[in-house]
Amino acid sequence: MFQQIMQVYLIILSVCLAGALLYIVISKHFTDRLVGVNLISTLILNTILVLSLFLDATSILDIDIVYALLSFQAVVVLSRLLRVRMLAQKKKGGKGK
Amino acid sequence: MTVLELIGSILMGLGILLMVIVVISVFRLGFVINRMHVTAIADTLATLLIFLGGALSEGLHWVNLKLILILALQWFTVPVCGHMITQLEYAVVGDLEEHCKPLPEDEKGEES
Repeated sequence: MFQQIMQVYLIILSVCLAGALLYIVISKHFTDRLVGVNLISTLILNTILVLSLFLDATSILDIDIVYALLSFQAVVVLSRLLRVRMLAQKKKGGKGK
Repeated sequence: MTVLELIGSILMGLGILLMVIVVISVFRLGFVINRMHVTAIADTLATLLIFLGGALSEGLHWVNLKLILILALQWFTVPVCGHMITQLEYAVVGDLEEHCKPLPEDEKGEES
């Protein structure tokens, strides 16, 4: 019974993942996509937990720890890089004027 | 199915319901900072409910320590992510005044 409930939860979470991916694809702005990446990483974190309960294999949770740190790093590095580049571009434009 | 598993699966169901609400509302809201407000629900409350449900269904087990570690990592890193994305939005877009109305007190101060 518990495994069947976990199976239903996994299906719902995968539909949510597809929705978040669709959001990333159809969004126009860069920050929208970063928000989508953040949402997808949270969804995957929870999906791995439900998967580990479904398969009754708790060693999968190690992936969860690494995934939490990697998603944090991805968002921070991307946003920092783009912010520095955009500010440099604005500065260049100001000097040109 | 034990009682703990039943309570755990109900809590996880609540968390997954919140996830579904977040994914729907991300499509419906119009501005990036509103969407970040909504995704913060998924990052904190929904994750707490799902992990609490997982820990309850496992019972008293050493895996719960791992779950607490993951939850702590998530809760410490997510505000930093939100802060960075908001800074990027503020630096890049620059039309925040269209979406955020100033407080009435600020308007009075500007007029006087």
